[in-house]
Amino acid sequence: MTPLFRTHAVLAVLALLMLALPLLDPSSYIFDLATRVGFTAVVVIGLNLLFGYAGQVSLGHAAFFGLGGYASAILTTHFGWPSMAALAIGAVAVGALAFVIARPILRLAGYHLAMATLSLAFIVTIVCTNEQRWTGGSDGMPVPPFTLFGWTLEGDLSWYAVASACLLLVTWGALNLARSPAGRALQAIRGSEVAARLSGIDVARAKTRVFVLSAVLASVMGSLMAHHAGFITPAATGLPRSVEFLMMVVLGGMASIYGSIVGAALVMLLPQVLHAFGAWETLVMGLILTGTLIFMRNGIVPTLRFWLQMPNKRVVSSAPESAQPEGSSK
Amino acid sequence: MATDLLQFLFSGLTVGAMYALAALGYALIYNASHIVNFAQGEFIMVGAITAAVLVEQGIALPVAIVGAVLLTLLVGALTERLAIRPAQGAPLVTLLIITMGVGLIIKGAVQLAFGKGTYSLPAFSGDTPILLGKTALAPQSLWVAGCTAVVVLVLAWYFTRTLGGKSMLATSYNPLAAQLMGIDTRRVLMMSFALAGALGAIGGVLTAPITFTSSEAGTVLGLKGFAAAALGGIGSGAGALAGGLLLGVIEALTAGYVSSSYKDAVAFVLLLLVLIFMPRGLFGSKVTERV
Amino acid sequence: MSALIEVRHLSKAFGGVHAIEDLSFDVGPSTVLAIVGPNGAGKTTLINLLTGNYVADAGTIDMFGARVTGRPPEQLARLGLSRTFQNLQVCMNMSVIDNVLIGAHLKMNDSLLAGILQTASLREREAHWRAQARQLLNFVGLGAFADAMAAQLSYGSLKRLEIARALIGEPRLVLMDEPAAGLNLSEKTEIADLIKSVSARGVSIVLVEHDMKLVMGVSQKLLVLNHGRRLAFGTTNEVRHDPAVIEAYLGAA
Repeated sequence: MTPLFRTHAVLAVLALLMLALPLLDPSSYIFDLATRVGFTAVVVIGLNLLFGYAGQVSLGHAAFFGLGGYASAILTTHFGWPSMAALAIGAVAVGALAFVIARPILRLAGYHLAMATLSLAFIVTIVCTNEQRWTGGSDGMPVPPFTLFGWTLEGDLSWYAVASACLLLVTWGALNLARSPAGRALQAIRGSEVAARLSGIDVARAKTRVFVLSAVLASVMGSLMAHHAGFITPAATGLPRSVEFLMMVVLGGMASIYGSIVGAALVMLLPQVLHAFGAWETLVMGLILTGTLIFMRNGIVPTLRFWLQMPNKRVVSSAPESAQPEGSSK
Repeated sequence: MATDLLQFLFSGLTVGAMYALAALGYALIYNASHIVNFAQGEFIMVGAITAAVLVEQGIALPVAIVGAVLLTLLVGALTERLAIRPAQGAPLVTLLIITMGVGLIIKGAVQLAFGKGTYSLPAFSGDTPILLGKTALAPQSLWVAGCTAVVVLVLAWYFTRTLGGKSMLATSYNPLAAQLMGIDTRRVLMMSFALAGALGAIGGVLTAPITFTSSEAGTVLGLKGFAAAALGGIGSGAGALAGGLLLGVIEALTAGYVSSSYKDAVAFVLLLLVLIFMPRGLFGSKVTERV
Repeated sequence: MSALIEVRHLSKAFGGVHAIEDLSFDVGPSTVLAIVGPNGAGKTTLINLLTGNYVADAGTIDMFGARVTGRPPEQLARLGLSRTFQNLQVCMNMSVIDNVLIGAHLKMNDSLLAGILQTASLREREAHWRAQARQLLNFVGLGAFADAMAAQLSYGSLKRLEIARALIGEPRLVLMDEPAAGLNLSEKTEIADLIKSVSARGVSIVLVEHDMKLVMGVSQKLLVLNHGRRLAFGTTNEVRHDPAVIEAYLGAA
């Protein structure tokens, strides 16, 4: 089974699963949840490309997400722009912002990069909270429905279709990217920047590109989700939201596109399930998160893959070279 | 004008001292393991709430404080033992998210036990402000300043004069070499967490009379302490102190002179600038990569 | 026959430490040049200068006919330089074959769009270089592990992986920084044989190594460094009998 065939096979299964849901005649609430999971998964895939593949930790990803949402909200509400134009301009503006800050910030690494991106998230949140005239302040502002040449995007099924289409498209694109030289370059940057540079990879340029790409993806999703919810608040831009995205990447599996979908679904569906626990909700959530990561330290999908591969790929040995398996895979 | 400035400085330094204590907690754990402990804010919160609850039950303030600090110390140690040690060898970012999970566990447990309401502690020596010229100084601020100074001195003594402290430093410089010297690095890590817990609790208890506390308070405090640690350069104790105080003062000055709503922004703009132009923070150490 | 590398009066100091001082030498085509000297003699500094990781304080480096002093590693790779590392710089998060493919990065289309769309030409090149990578892995003895994760390989295997990665891009010159370090006797013999086969393919090699027996077995020329200065430079025979070298290493007879 070639990698290409496998990619298409899994995508087909994913598409089938997405088609199956409406057939089960779910409630409006379930549709709404599924739609939000779909859009969020796209954001997480983008973040995974930046962080899981290229190793650039970003604690400010929600800033891009929220800015996209606010761009759509403000341009449509205060300036009467058509929704698509607002979304597009928002994406361009966020992309430009990401491009401008990429070089100085991405020179940093690890903890310092985390702090720089975190500062970004904070600054954006504070601006959105304080510019009440435009943004409605900490209470947020309503967002008009999404319209395209007179046709309004409304109804559970329509939104669900849009979210599913987005997710399928981005998953396909990301899987392709991961297999390509550009994708390998990203992983090499995480593995060893020194070796990457000496292989001719323009590390600064590669980091900037993936940063902008993930920012634009987040912005577009932010716009769409703002229209879908009909409302946006500064919480969409802040640290808790950023950390949540990161958590989804880590939980699902770094450098795993499917992992991003699993991570998004899990983190968003779990609280729904845990509501039943009442006052125990936070505690149980913490226990599940901690416990899962202790046992699946590379994230759910990579760990499952690893467990399922044994014994073929885990122990590698043959004469004359006997390779010692170095514990768990990285 | 000068009285205003002094006023802002005092309140800034008071809040800054709390940030500094939080930042020291981060520095301790980061030094021992390169882990950023996202539960540090919850350590602060647990200390404050435990003391508040004990006082509410009629226990004398000093006893309540000691109890709270001891409990949080235990919480810190348990965090390492039950959540960090089983995950030894996991990628750093996984450990980070694990500490986040621990923060949730602690918050959830506190919510279960004490609910989501706000608590407060009585000021240690009353509320009557002390007047210095025309500037009013809350007596609690003196407690904060004094205790922080004592804590810093004790830590300095601990790290330079005791074997326990020196093993912690050794572990932070080179864990492998420390192990080879017979230092139990896992115990050192546990003690770092315990100590960070105690530090957090002290900070929480000191400032609870000034700022109220609740189960949600941990998040914001943790964040600010994080920012303070980053400002000063997370590996450094002196940096944590300087970063915390600087952050507090800048916030107070911005709130006073510019605008209350943008005071938080200034701190982060500053942080961003420092990171871009002085990536090691004000006091952090230079790290070179040997190829 | 012009030299592949010409180094003239190269100097580099770190604070008060003069790591490299007024160093001049050549590397000819199809040669194996070994750089030797005690620890601290400046060997790794020299390698880092040659690969653009460090910038020299003074002097010039000409590579493949171009003045390259101060140019960054990415550009030097483009000119035909590759390197293996003393402290392994293998991407443990990738598979063995993907690691090798990184070495061929410049030969492939690294555009984001082409990658996302998986254009026909991209797929064609990918298939071609993947086949090349497998061949190279066979050449270095790692053929069976192509699809394993790099993290699963032993130390000696990882050193071979680095060599495969260094070769796939069809470099004109490979810098090897202590390829035999940390290897046992049989592994060292294998590495030595590997180096000889690489040299037989016409690739020039600059080798930093401590193991003199290995060095003498594979090199045509020697550069001896002492305290950052050139102590001797010439064919292995010339250097071996150079009185200054003998005195430095063995003491005067």
